[in-house]
Amino acid sequence: MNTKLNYNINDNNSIFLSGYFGRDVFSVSDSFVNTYGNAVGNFRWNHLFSDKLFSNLSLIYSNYYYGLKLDFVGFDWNSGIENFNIKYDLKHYVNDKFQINYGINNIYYRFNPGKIEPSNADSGIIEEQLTQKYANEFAAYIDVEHDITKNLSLNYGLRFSNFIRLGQDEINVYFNDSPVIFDPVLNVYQEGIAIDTYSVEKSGSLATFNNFEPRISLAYTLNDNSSIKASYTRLAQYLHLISNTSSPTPLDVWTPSGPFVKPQLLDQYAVGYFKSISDGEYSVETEVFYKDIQNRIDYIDGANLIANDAIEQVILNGEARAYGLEFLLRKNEGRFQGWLAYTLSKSEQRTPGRTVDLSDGTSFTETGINSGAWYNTPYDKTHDVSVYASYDLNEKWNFNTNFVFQTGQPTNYPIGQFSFQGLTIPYYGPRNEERLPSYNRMDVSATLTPKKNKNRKWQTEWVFSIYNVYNRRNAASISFSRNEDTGANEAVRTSIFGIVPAVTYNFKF
Amino acid sequence: MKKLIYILCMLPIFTACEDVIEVEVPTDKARLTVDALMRIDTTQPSTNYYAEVKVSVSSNFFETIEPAILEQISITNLASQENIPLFETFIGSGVYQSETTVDFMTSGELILFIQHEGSRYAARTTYVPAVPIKKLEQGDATLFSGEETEIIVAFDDQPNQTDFYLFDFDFNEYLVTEDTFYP
Repeated sequence: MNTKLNYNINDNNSIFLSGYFGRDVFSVSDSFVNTYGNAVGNFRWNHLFSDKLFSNLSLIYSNYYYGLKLDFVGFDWNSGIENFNIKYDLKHYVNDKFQINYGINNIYYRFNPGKIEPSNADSGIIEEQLTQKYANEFAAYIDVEHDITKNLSLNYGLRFSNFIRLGQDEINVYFNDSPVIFDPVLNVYQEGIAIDTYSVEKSGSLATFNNFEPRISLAYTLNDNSSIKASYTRLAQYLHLISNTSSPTPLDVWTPSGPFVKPQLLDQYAVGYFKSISDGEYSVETEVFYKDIQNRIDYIDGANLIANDAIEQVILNGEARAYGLEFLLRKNEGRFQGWLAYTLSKSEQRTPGRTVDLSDGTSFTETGINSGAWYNTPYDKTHDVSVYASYDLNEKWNFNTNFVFQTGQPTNYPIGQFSFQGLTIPYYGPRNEERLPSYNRMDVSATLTPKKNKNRKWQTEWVFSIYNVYNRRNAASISFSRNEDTGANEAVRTSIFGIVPAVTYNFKF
Repeated sequence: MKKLIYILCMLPIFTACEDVIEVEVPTDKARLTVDALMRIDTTQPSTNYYAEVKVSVSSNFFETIEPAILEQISITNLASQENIPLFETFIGSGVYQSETTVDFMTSGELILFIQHEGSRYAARTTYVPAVPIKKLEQGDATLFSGEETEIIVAFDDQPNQTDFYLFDFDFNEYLVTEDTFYP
């Protein structure tokens, strides 16, 4: 559900109000319902100080909700992230060669990791609220767009961010300050031993982080048809997402930086080349990029992420990197237009073992996650190709098609099985070493614009489309299980959409 | 002010669907699996107990799990310093048994010792009693397909200790619960 309102108070002031509410409900039966979605409210005041300086004041509220109703085990599960964002941005056109953007921004976060409630009177479950977490992020930035010469333009800026993980009801104190410990005999990581807990007022701080985030990019025009560009960006990220690629359900756990989790720092470098061909009828863009990420967290083997009140006991700090080449060819003019995009890239991470000093003066090195070796992140796609084409037959009819091909998402397949108590249990090897089958899909559509539109105030449009024309069953996940009838092991593919024909009627007035 | 109205009509062909596909899975080197979970019913009048351990070798996910052949297997009670060797029920079964007593199994620390393909393995444990079941009833609620059988089980969880409960409903149906959210 979407609403938008705007109101011009006078020539120099206008206000905008928008709201969004969306819920996805995934229900298997009355006893199992999964609901998730977002609610966003946005108020913006646009004010013109002069024709060279104007400002935007925004107030944004957002609430992400994730809930499970599990009647068969007798409980409901509710979790979410709420944030209140206030920002004030100014744009200053000093002259046609120099523009400054600056502003401040403050976000207050409230995390509800989960509340468990009995779903009926007979339930043996007691209500429990996992410890709510709070944080505040303040940022100030200045950004300059500067045309130095006719051929050289520079864009540079600096952002300062301050993140305070605010106090909460209960936080653990660990033996040796180690929330995760390593057992050198069994070669496994285990949850550390909590020896005490303490509470801090919500106005107090558990941990504070300050980061400067510089960025610079330059574009140089070589001649009328070609240019080169280069950029460097640093970003600090204070919220961390841990996802489980082997799980068929969207189980994503968000955790804020704090006493045990450092902010994630990204350094990104890119160099690109742009060329226009045949007076702009065609254009070619290429870019190479390298990203280096510090403090990328991942969970240890056997981690329990659900309803975990002390996530620091199952995560370790590592690093990530990504690099690749992007290529884009466009046809910009004529009745036939379109583009071809190709990205070749690699995205991987590693979590090496820490060195632990023992009391007898000796030390040992832990194995790390995945034996400390690099492994694919859940987002790694070696090849990513997309093609889009549009053809205007006449004033009435327009045809579109697009095609997507992507290397399958990294996942885990069992490397073996063993028998225990009459059950066969699969077990897994190095992380994210296998892949789902490649993803590919083609969509087509035809748009009919009736001729009578010209003479009236309102406009109508019919769109006839087919999503996934050749009805490919792209795998969303592959799970491994035992067939209940035959007793044989099998691989089960879950695919979300097959072919979807649709008719859309657009009405504008 | 401009307004947009979209009317979308989708033919109801799309579904989330599951199908069985052929996948090539990697094969790890074979690992020895020891199933030495023994259940002792202390309410029975007999003081004798048959200790049984099943051993097998892991396999590729789509192949058959074969029994393992051990060079040696025994259980030692550290408290009584008593040691009992186990013997294979018949050759190639992977099932090793020995007659002993409930007292041997339930008092003192036990060490299971195994020798397989030249490697020696040891595990240590003590008997852990489970709380008694207070109520066991068949209910009439169902879950997904409507063909499930509801079983209502009541028991008192011990408040000051972290426990995991393993329910064995037979037919390879198991349920594990932890007591985090129990009163």
